Amino acid sequence: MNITLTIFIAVLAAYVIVAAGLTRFIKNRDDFYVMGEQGSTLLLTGTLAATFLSAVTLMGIAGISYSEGPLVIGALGSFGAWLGTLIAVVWIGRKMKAMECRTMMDFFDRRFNNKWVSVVALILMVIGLLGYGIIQLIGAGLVLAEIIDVPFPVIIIAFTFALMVFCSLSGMYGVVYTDTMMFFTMLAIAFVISPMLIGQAGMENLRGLSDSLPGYWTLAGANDRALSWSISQFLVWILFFACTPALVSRVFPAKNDFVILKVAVIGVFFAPAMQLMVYLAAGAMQVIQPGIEPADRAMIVGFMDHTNPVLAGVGLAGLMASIMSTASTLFVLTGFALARDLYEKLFEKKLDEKRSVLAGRISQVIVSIIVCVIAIARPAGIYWISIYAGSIFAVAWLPTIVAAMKWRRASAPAVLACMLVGSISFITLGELERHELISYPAGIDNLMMAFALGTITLIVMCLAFKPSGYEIERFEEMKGQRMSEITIGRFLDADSTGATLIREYRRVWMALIAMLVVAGGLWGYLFVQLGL
Amino acid sequence: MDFKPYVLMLFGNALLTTVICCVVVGAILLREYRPTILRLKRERSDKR
Repeated sequence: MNITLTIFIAVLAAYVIVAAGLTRFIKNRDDFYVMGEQGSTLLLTGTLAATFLSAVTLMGIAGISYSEGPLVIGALGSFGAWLGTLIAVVWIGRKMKAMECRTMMDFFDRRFNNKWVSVVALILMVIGLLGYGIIQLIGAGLVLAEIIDVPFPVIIIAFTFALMVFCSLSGMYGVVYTDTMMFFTMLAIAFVISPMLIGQAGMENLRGLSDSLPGYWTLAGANDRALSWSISQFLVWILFFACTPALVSRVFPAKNDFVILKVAVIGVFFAPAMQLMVYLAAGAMQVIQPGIEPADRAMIVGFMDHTNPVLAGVGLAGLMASIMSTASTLFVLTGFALARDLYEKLFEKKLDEKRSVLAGRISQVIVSIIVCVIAIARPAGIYWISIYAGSIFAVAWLPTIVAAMKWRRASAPAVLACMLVGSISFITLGELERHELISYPAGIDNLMMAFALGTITLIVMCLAFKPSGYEIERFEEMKGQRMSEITIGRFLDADSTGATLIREYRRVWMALIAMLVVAGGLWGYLFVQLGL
Repeated sequence: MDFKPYVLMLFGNALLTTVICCVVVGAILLREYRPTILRLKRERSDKR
C-alpha cells in the first residue's frame, strides 16, 4: 500500500473513531443540534476556522496566487470574506443565539411564523448548501483520487461514509470535534509547511517575482485584472460570508457570550492568518517550480515534492481536512434542515426527544446517500447549480435577515418577495450573460444587480404592507433579547458574588490585547520582509 | 528601499480585520458588560 493511501485511510479512520466515541454525549435534541450548548472557545475557534478554510483556498485561490500573484484575491476579495465572517459571528450569529435559535431556519420561523417564508427559505438553504458542498467534494475528490491513485467513486464513498458517521452518530458534536482536529492540520499547513516553502524560495526571490512577472505584487496581478473586478470580488465575498449558514451556525453551540466574543477575536484572526500564509506559499512555489499546470495544483506539488515525507503526509491530511470540514458543516446543516425544519416543524410532527434525535440521524443518512450518488454521477445540472448555489444566500437571505433584525416594518410578504426577486433575478441575469444575450458594464455583475433588486423590492414591500400584530410583537421581543443579559444572568445565578463573571470579562480583554499584539507582529514582519 | 504599496494594502487589510474585530468586541464589552462589572466590583469592595 502506498504512503498516501495509508495516510488517507488513517486520517479518515481517526475522524470516524472520534465521532463514534462522541455518540455517548447525545442524550437529547439539543445535544444533537447544538452540542448541548457546551462549545468552548477552542472548539468553536477550530470549527469556525476549519469551515472557513475550504478547498477553494488551498486549490483555486492558491492557484490564482501562484500564477497571477498573492494580492489578486488576497488584498480585497479575501478581505471581504474576513469581514463577512466577523459580521456572521458577532452580529447575525450572536443575535440569533440570543433568540435561542438552533438552526438559521428557526429565525425565519420565529420572526414571521409564515409557512411560505419558511418553505422558500428552506428550499434556498438546501440548494445553496448542497450545491456548494457537492461541487467542492467533486473537485477536490478528483484531485485526491489522482494523488492517491484510487478510483474517484471509491474516494467519494469513503468521504461520504465518514461524513455520515460524523453527522448521524454524533450530530454537531461530531462535526465540531472533528473540525477542531482538522483545524490543527490546517495550522500545520499555514505555519509549518508554508513558511518552509517560503524559506526555500527565499524572501528576496519572492519579492523579485515582479521582475519576471510584471504586476505580480499589485492588486491587478500578472494578468492585469481591472480594479472593478477586485471590488466585485470584495462585495461577493463579504455578502456571501456574512449570512452563510455554515459560518453563522458555528455560534449556536457556544457555552456563553464570552465564548462567542473570544471566538470572534481569535477565529477571525486565523482566517487571514491561514489564507495569506497559503497564498504566499503559492507565490513561493512560483519561484521554486514555475510552470505547474493546472495552477490549482501548486500547493499540492509543494506538499508532495518539496517537503519531507512526514510533512507531505500532513499536507495531504490538511487537504482532506479542507474538503471534509466544509463539507461536514454543509451536509450536517442540510440534514438538520430536513429533519427539524421540514419534517418536525413544517409538517408539524410532534416528536419526543428520542424520536427527534432519530429523525435527525435518519435525515443525515439520507443526505449522505444523496450526496454520494450525485457526486459519483456528476450530472451536468450540479455544475449549473454550483454557479449560483453559494451566492444565493447573499442575494436572497442577507437583505431579509438585516431587515428582519433591524426594521420594525419587516413583514412576511416583503421578505418573501425579496427572497424570490433576489434569487430569480440573480439566476436570470447570470444566464443572460452566460449565453451572451446581454453584457454588463465593467465592475457590475449579476450578484450586485440581484442584491440591489431584492433590497429595493424589500423596501417597497415593507412600506406597502403593514406588519402583522405577531410580527411587531416578535420584533419588540427580539430587541430585548441580548446575549450579554442572558450570560450575565446565568453567571450570577451560578455565582452570586460575580467573581467568575469578572474573571471571564477580563479574559476576553486579555484575548483581545493578545490577538492585537500577535496580528501586529505577524503582519508587520511580513510587510517589512516583502513590502519594503 | 523598494516600497510596494499594494503589499501594504494586503497586510494592512489583514491587520485591519483584527483591529475592527477588537474594536467591535471591545465596544460590546464596554457597553453591555462594564456597568454590571463595575457594580459587582463596587459591591465586593463595600463588603470588604
